[in-house]
Amino acid sequence: MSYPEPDPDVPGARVSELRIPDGDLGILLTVWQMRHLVRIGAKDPLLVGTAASIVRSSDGSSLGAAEAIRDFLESRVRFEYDPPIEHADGTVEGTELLKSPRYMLREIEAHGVATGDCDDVAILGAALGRAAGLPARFALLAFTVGAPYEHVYTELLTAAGWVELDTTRPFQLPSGLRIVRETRKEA
Amino acid sequence: MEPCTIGILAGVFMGWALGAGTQPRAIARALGHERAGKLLRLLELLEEPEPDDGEEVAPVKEPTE
Repeated sequence: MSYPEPDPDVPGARVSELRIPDGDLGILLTVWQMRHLVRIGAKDPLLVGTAASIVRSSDGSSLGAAEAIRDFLESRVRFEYDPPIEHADGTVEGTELLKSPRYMLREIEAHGVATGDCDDVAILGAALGRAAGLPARFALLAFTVGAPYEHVYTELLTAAGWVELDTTRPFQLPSGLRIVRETRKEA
Repeated sequence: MEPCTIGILAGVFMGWALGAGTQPRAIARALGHERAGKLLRLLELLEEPEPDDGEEVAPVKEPTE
Protein backbone atom coordinates (compact mmCIF):
# COMPACT_ATOMS: atom_id res chain seq x y z
CA MET A 1 0.00 0.00 0.00
CA SER A 2 1.14 3.49 -0.73
CA TYR A 3 0.58 6.03 2.01
CA PRO A 4 0.93 9.77 2.01
CA GLU A 5 3.98 10.35 4.16
CA PRO A 6 3.66 12.19 7.47
CA ASP A 7 4.98 15.74 7.37
CA PRO A 8 8.81 15.51 7.07
CA ASP A 9 9.09 18.68 9.12
CA VAL A 10 7.44 16.90 12.06
CA PRO A 11 9.88 14.11 12.88
CA GLY A 12 9.04 11.13 15.04
CA ALA A 13 5.60 10.42 13.58
CA ARG A 14 4.02 7.10 14.40
CA VAL A 15 1.09 5.78 12.37
CA SER A 16 -1.16 3.04 13.68
CA GLU A 17 -4.22 1.81 11.90
CA LEU A 18 -7.24 -0.38 12.24
CA ARG A 19 -10.13 -1.24 9.98
CA ILE A 20 -13.49 -0.10 11.28
CA PRO A 21 -16.95 -1.16 10.10
CA ASP A 22 -19.23 1.03 8.05
CA GLY A 23 -22.10 2.88 9.65
CA ASP A 24 -22.64 4.17 13.14
CA LEU A 25 -20.58 1.42 14.77
CA GLY A 26 -17.56 2.64 12.84
CA ILE A 27 -18.38 6.21 13.85
CA LEU A 28 -18.56 5.23 17.52
CA LEU A 29 -15.19 3.49 17.29
CA THR A 30 -13.78 6.62 15.67
CA VAL A 31 -15.16 8.77 18.48
CA TRP A 32 -13.61 6.38 20.99
CA GLN A 33 -10.22 6.89 19.35
CA MET A 34 -10.77 10.65 19.24
CA ARG A 35 -11.51 10.65 22.97
CA HIS A 36 -8.34 8.62 23.57
CA LEU A 37 -6.27 11.29 21.78
CA VAL A 38 -8.04 14.08 23.69
CA ARG A 39 -7.42 12.47 27.07
CA ILE A 40 -3.71 12.02 26.36
CA GLY A 41 -3.43 15.47 24.84
CA ALA A 42 -5.14 17.26 27.73
CA LYS A 43 -2.42 15.99 30.08
CA ASP A 44 0.44 16.73 27.70
CA PRO A 45 2.61 19.57 29.05
CA LEU A 46 2.89 20.99 25.52
CA LEU A 47 -0.90 21.20 25.28
CA VAL A 48 -1.29 22.55 28.80
CA GLY A 49 1.25 25.28 28.10
CA THR A 50 -0.33 26.16 24.77
CA ALA A 51 -3.81 26.29 26.31
CA ALA A 52 -2.56 28.57 29.07
CA SER A 53 -0.96 30.84 26.51
CA ILE A 54 -4.15 31.01 24.42
CA VAL A 55 -6.38 31.65 27.43
CA ARG A 56 -4.03 34.31 28.77
CA SER A 57 -5.01 36.51 25.85
CA SER A 58 -8.70 36.34 26.78
CA ASP A 59 -10.70 38.31 29.34
CA GLY A 60 -10.30 35.63 32.02
CA SER A 61 -13.84 34.27 31.80
CA SER A 62 -14.66 30.71 30.74
CA LEU A 63 -16.55 32.12 27.74
CA GLY A 64 -13.53 34.20 26.81
CA ALA A 65 -11.30 31.13 27.12
CA ALA A 66 -13.53 29.09 24.80
CA GLU A 67 -13.69 31.91 22.27
CA ALA A 68 -9.91 32.32 22.38
CA ILE A 69 -9.51 28.59 21.66
CA ARG A 70 -11.93 28.90 18.75
CA ASP A 71 -9.95 31.86 17.39
CA PHE A 72 -6.78 29.80 17.68
CA LEU A 73 -8.34 26.93 15.70
CA GLU A 74 -9.66 29.31 13.05
CA SER A 75 -6.31 30.98 12.54
CA ARG A 76 -3.99 28.03 13.01
CA VAL A 77 -5.70 25.07 11.31
CA ARG A 78 -6.27 24.98 7.57
CA PHE A 79 -8.98 22.62 6.39
CA GLU A 80 -7.76 19.67 4.34
CA TYR A 81 -9.50 16.42 3.43
CA ASP A 82 -7.96 13.19 4.68
CA PRO A 83 -5.58 11.84 2.04
CA PRO A 84 -6.54 8.53 0.39
CA ILE A 85 -4.17 5.57 0.13
CA GLU A 86 -3.34 3.48 -2.90
CA HIS A 87 -3.31 -0.30 -2.57
CA ALA A 88 -0.93 -2.63 -4.35
CA ASP A 89 -3.67 -3.61 -6.80
CA GLY A 90 -4.02 0.01 -7.88
CA THR A 91 -7.28 0.71 -6.10
CA VAL A 92 -7.52 3.91 -4.14
CA GLU A 93 -9.28 3.95 -0.81
CA GLY A 94 -10.43 6.86 1.30
CA THR A 95 -9.29 6.78 4.90
CA GLU A 96 -10.15 8.41 8.20
CA LEU A 97 -7.01 10.07 9.55
CA LEU A 98 -6.91 11.27 13.15
CA LYS A 99 -4.04 13.51 14.19
CA SER A 100 -2.97 13.79 17.79
CA PRO A 101 -3.06 17.28 19.31
CA ARG A 102 0.69 17.23 19.87
CA TYR A 103 1.28 16.36 16.21
CA MET A 104 -0.87 19.30 15.17
CA LEU A 105 0.95 21.69 17.50
CA ARG A 106 4.26 20.52 16.01
CA GLU A 107 2.84 21.20 12.54
CA ILE A 108 1.95 24.71 13.70
CA GLU A 109 5.46 25.18 15.08
CA ALA A 110 6.95 24.06 11.76
CA HIS A 111 4.66 25.85 9.33
CA GLY A 112 2.57 28.37 11.24
CA VAL A 113 -0.54 26.33 10.54
CA ALA A 114 -1.62 22.71 10.85
CA THR A 115 -3.88 20.92 8.40
CA GLY A 116 -6.83 18.69 9.16
CA ASP A 117 -10.50 18.00 8.74
CA CYS A 118 -13.36 18.25 11.20
CA ASP A 119 -12.28 15.38 13.46
CA ASP A 120 -8.72 16.71 13.78
CA VAL A 121 -9.98 20.16 14.76
CA ALA A 122 -12.48 18.57 17.17
CA ILE A 123 -9.68 16.61 18.86
CA LEU A 124 -7.38 19.62 19.16
CA GLY A 125 -10.18 21.89 20.38
CA ALA A 126 -11.35 19.40 22.99
CA ALA A 127 -7.81 18.75 24.23
CA LEU A 128 -7.07 22.47 24.54
CA GLY A 129 -10.41 23.04 26.24
CA ARG A 130 -9.88 20.26 28.75
CA ALA A 131 -6.31 21.43 29.34
CA ALA A 132 -7.79 24.85 30.14
CA GLY A 133 -10.26 23.27 32.59
CA LEU A 134 -13.38 23.36 30.42
CA PRO A 135 -15.61 20.30 30.01
CA ALA A 136 -15.72 19.21 26.37
CA ARG A 137 -18.03 17.13 24.24
CA PHE A 138 -18.27 16.11 20.60
CA ALA A 139 -21.33 17.01 18.53
CA LEU A 140 -22.06 14.58 15.71
CA LEU A 141 -24.37 15.56 12.86
CA ALA A 142 -26.02 13.66 10.02
CA PHE A 143 -27.53 15.41 7.01
CA THR A 144 -28.92 12.42 5.14
CA VAL A 145 -31.75 10.21 6.36
CA GLY A 146 -30.45 6.72 7.03
CA ALA A 147 -26.81 7.74 6.63
CA PRO A 148 -24.21 7.67 9.39
CA TYR A 149 -22.97 10.84 11.04
CA GLU A 150 -21.07 13.02 8.57
CA HIS A 151 -19.68 15.87 10.65
CA VAL A 152 -18.20 16.39 14.10
CA TYR A 153 -17.16 19.40 16.13
CA THR A 154 -16.35 20.18 19.74
CA GLU A 155 -18.38 22.13 22.25
CA LEU A 156 -16.88 23.56 25.44
CA LEU A 157 -18.93 24.25 28.53
CA THR A 158 -18.69 27.80 29.83
CA ALA A 159 -20.67 29.84 32.33
CA ALA A 160 -22.63 31.11 29.32
CA GLY A 161 -23.45 27.59 28.13
CA TRP A 162 -21.94 25.32 25.50
CA VAL A 163 -19.76 27.13 22.98
CA GLU A 164 -19.23 25.43 19.64
CA LEU A 165 -15.84 25.30 17.95
CA ASP A 166 -17.11 24.36 14.49
CA THR A 167 -14.45 26.04 12.38
CA THR A 168 -14.30 23.58 9.44
CA ARG A 169 -17.96 23.41 8.46
CA PRO A 170 -17.84 26.31 5.97
CA PHE A 171 -14.99 24.57 4.14
CA GLN A 172 -16.33 21.05 4.37
CA LEU A 173 -20.07 21.24 3.84
CA PRO A 174 -22.42 23.28 1.68
CA SER A 175 -24.41 25.89 3.54
CA GLY A 176 -28.06 25.33 4.30
CA LEU A 177 -27.85 21.60 4.96
CA ARG A 178 -30.66 20.34 7.15
CA ILE A 179 -29.59 18.34 10.19
CA VAL A 180 -31.64 15.14 10.30
CA ARG A 181 -29.91 13.54 13.28
CA GLU A 182 -27.47 14.68 15.96
CA THR A 183 -25.97 13.43 19.18
CA ARG A 184 -23.43 14.47 21.77
CA LYS A 185 -20.57 12.38 23.17
CA GLU A 186 -18.24 13.29 26.02
CA ALA A 187 -14.80 14.20 24.74
CA MET B 1 -19.82 -31.31 -9.56
CA GLU B 2 -22.48 -32.02 -12.15
CA PRO B 3 -22.81 -29.49 -15.00
CA CYS B 4 -26.44 -28.92 -14.10
CA THR B 5 -25.42 -28.15 -10.52
CA ILE B 6 -22.92 -25.60 -11.76
CA GLY B 7 -25.65 -24.13 -13.94
CA ILE B 8 -28.03 -23.90 -11.04
CA LEU B 9 -25.40 -22.25 -8.83
CA ALA B 10 -24.50 -19.83 -11.62
CA GLY B 11 -28.17 -19.02 -12.05
CA VAL B 12 -28.60 -18.44 -8.34
CA PHE B 13 -25.59 -16.14 -8.29
CA MET B 14 -26.80 -14.23 -11.35
CA GLY B 15 -30.21 -13.87 -9.78
CA TRP B 16 -28.71 -12.60 -6.57
CA ALA B 17 -26.44 -10.23 -8.46
CA LEU B 18 -29.31 -8.82 -10.50
CA GLY B 19 -31.43 -8.53 -7.39
CA ALA B 20 -28.64 -6.69 -5.68
CA GLY B 21 -28.21 -4.43 -8.68
CA THR B 22 -29.08 -1.44 -6.60
CA GLN B 23 -26.27 -2.38 -4.22
CA PRO B 24 -23.16 -2.54 -6.40
CA ARG B 25 -20.93 -2.27 -3.35
CA ALA B 26 -22.37 -5.52 -1.99
CA ILE B 27 -21.50 -7.30 -5.23
CA ALA B 28 -18.03 -5.76 -5.41
CA ARG B 29 -17.41 -6.75 -1.81
CA ALA B 30 -18.58 -10.32 -2.41
CA LEU B 31 -16.24 -10.54 -5.39
CA GLY B 32 -13.38 -9.25 -3.30
CA HIS B 33 -12.98 -6.03 -5.26
CA GLU B 34 -13.84 -3.79 -2.37
CA ARG B 35 -12.56 -3.76 1.17
CA ALA B 36 -15.20 -3.84 3.83
CA GLY B 37 -15.34 -0.96 6.27
CA LYS B 38 -12.97 1.96 6.40
CA LEU B 39 -9.34 2.35 7.33
CA LEU B 40 -8.85 4.44 10.46
CA ARG B 41 -5.32 5.84 10.83
CA LEU B 42 -3.91 7.49 13.94
CA LEU B 43 -1.03 9.90 13.46
CA GLU B 44 0.84 10.44 16.71
CA LEU B 45 4.36 11.32 17.78
CA LEU B 46 6.79 8.92 19.42
CA GLU B 47 7.47 11.51 22.11
CA GLU B 48 3.84 11.69 23.25
CA PRO B 49 3.08 10.78 26.84
CA GLU B 50 1.76 7.29 27.31
CA PRO B 51 -1.78 6.94 28.66
CA ASP B 52 -1.99 5.92 32.30
CA ASP B 53 -3.69 2.59 32.73
CA GLY B 54 -7.08 3.12 34.20
CA GLU B 55 -6.28 6.61 35.33
CA GLU B 56 -8.82 9.17 34.36
CA VAL B 57 -7.89 12.66 33.32
CA ALA B 58 -7.96 15.02 36.27
CA PRO B 59 -11.52 16.21 36.70
CA VAL B 60 -12.13 19.44 34.94
CA LYS B 61 -13.17 22.42 36.98
CA GLU B 62 -16.72 23.54 36.72
CA PRO B 63 -16.74 26.80 34.83
CA THR B 64 -17.22 29.90 36.87
CA GLU B 65 -17.43 33.48 35.84
